[in-house]
Amino acid sequence: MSKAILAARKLSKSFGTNQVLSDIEFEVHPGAAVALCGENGAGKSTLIKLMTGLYQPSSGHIEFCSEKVNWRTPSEGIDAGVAVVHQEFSTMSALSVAENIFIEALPRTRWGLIDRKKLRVQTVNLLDSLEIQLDPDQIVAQLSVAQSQMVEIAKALRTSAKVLILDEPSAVLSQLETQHLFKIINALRLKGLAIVYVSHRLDEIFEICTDIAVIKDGVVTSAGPIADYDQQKIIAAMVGRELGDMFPPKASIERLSEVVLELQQLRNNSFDQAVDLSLYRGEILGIAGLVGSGRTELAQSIYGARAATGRVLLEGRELGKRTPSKCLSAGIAMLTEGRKTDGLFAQSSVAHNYISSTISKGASDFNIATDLAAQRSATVVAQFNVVVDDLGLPISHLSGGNQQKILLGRLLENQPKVLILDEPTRGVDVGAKAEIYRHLRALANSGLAILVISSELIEIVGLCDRVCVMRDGAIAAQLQADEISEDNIMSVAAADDSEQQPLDIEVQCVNVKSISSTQAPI
Amino acid sequence: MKALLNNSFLDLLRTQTVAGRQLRELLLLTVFLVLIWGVTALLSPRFLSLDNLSDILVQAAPLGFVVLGQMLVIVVRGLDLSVASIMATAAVLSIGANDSIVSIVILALGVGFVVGAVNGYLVAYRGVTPFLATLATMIVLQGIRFAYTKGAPGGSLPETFRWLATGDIAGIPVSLIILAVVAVAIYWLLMRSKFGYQIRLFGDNPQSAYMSGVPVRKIQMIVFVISGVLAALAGLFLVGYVGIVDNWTGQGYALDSIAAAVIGGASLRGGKGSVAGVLLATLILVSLFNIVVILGLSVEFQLVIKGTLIILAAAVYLSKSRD
Repeated sequence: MSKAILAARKLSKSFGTNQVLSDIEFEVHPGAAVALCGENGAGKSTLIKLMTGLYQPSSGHIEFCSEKVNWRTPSEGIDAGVAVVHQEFSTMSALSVAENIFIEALPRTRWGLIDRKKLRVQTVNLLDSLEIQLDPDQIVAQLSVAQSQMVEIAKALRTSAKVLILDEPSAVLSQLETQHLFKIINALRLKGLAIVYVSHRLDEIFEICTDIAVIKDGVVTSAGPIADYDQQKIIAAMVGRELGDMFPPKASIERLSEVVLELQQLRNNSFDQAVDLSLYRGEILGIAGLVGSGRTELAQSIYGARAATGRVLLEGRELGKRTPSKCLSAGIAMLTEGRKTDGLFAQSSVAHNYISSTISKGASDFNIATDLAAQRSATVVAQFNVVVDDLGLPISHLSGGNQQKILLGRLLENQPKVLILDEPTRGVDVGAKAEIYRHLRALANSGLAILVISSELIEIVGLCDRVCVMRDGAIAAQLQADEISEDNIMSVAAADDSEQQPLDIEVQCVNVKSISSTQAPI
Repeated sequence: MKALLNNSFLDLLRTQTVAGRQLRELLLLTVFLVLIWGVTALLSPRFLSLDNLSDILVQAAPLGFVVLGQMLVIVVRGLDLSVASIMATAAVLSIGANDSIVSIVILALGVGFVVGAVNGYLVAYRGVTPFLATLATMIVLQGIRFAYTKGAPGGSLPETFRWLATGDIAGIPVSLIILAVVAVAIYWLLMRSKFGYQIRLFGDNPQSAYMSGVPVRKIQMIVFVISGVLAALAGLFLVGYVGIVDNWTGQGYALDSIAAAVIGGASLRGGKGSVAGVLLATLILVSLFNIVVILGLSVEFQLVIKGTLIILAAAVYLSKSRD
């Protein structure tokens, strides 16, 4: 066997007291494609960042061409020959394909201007060698997502790379586009390039990878040639852990009798698929699915933050034209996925963040006492055990967990009947997570209906009474009670196509009507 | 929990809280104002005479009205370039068409209201950037004004106007009393009403505000209307102060009001601004003009000072926001 081109030896990384990776052994050989698998938060991206010089290891080291290296910046890794294509594109949409690919090394004439002729020749040569068909002069804004990705790959391979790392490249691609991507990856591999392929879609891994390494909780749990694996074995290595007592006991299904929220043929502007769904009083319903499966879009379209057709009924009454403002006063509150982008008011005080959706509660609209906000939030700080020195501090001074508790408390001030929580524990430490779970269960027990969207399977499995698995904007399966397992969810979420289930795990699609005595969805 | 709620003034001054930071900025502005007044008084004793100080305050009043409106617009991440044009157009149209003071005021404020509403509509409902929307209305107004006056504004200024803009009640300038009333009203609106909280939250993060149920469009709309009405009011006061109706009344007030708002602590990135701060900054700007004259420096020097001050303010606030 040839020598590994890129390898991690006893590699560990911790942030503060938080050990993210420990004693990782990982290698990739020329002409091989290694699949890097693991759940969200398992440590895959940290490993990639270590292998490309973006992070420095806490202990252990990286080997490149059998030599110990100590890259301090990503550019050192790139110069050595490690190319990365990230999930988020870095293309500049107003520039042409050629300009994007050679942006860091544009050929110049002796007057210092861009040498267009040479640029074109270089681009054509590069694209030919990669067997990518693109017009060098086309503006990137006009390209499809798949074509933009080809530009990214070409850009990454502009310098003579020896290793190509692809971080979930197919997440944004259609079936056909993915096949085209695979052809190119295969061709590159056969030319002797070493490939590291990160993906959630297990079927793809079997198609293009030669080896596999599975990471769980910062440790490599399983690694070897792909021929030794089947999907079951991968899933088992990825998940399969004790839920511990992180989660409070669930509600009994028999209790679910009263529909609070009902979606009828709800169809948003991002997907063709319509969604029918009933949410019961006192339950926590989980929405699982891969990134891009339409979970957030569904939540936004219920909350009126995204254009949609179809009907939304709250306690049997249809909500007309929905906006966040109207939904809040009707009794639907939503916690957004991006705390910084559309949740927090970063410069405003903790107190003002807390009251932002119920500003004049307990006062007149035109005479709000200066310390009313602080008084009101002092109560929730005590109730949710928020760690804060002064309620007048900008909320950006708080840790993620404490911020999230304030935002959760803010929603409750609206006295909602339905809570929609998009990634409620993202960027939240384990201790605060357990507290949030406890609060959510208590809220459900007190009669709220809660919809939880999460990419963390363990959260979905541990917390939720029922689970809907989404794929391509539609609900592909509904699971309840014992059927809720990480294996079952993964096999549906990562499946290729709803007609053919590639796994022999039995997935029962539960009809909501069978446990409902109230009116059935049309 | 008590400890979280009770803050004495000195404690507040030391904290990293939002209120503490704002208080430090106000203190800094006050110290700066006292400093330039002190230095000028040493160089020229005439500066601190009651007449001169009262002159500064009366001069500051029209800009003060405009700055208050401009500050609200800046808090919601906007800019209002049309204020100077509104000042002149409101004055020229209303005085040209009327003799009675009541109808002049109603007509002038009406012009401010309508133009502000157009600005607000373009920004809030049509997604035009505030810079472009208000630049456009500024130019259109200019055209209307010149078409109406054919270059020579007519109408006579009622005596009452002169009194409102230059007279006094028991030694206190009338314009200052009215400015104080408006300032208190704006302060109350911004700091004590639901609407004011929504203005500040929107300025901090428009997306979060929308998701929190804040009526984001209505807010932008109303803020531009307030700015328009205050600019029209300022136009009347300025005309009364100068004593003649001119097509170029208020020239330079658009940029001066933005400068004063920024020096007074309003951030062009939104969410930040205080009534006391921008009024202090207005006083600083007007004082500097007066000081240049008193010290016998050339008038062009005013511009150099103004520009330097803006850069200074920007640098101070930027370094503080990095903490």
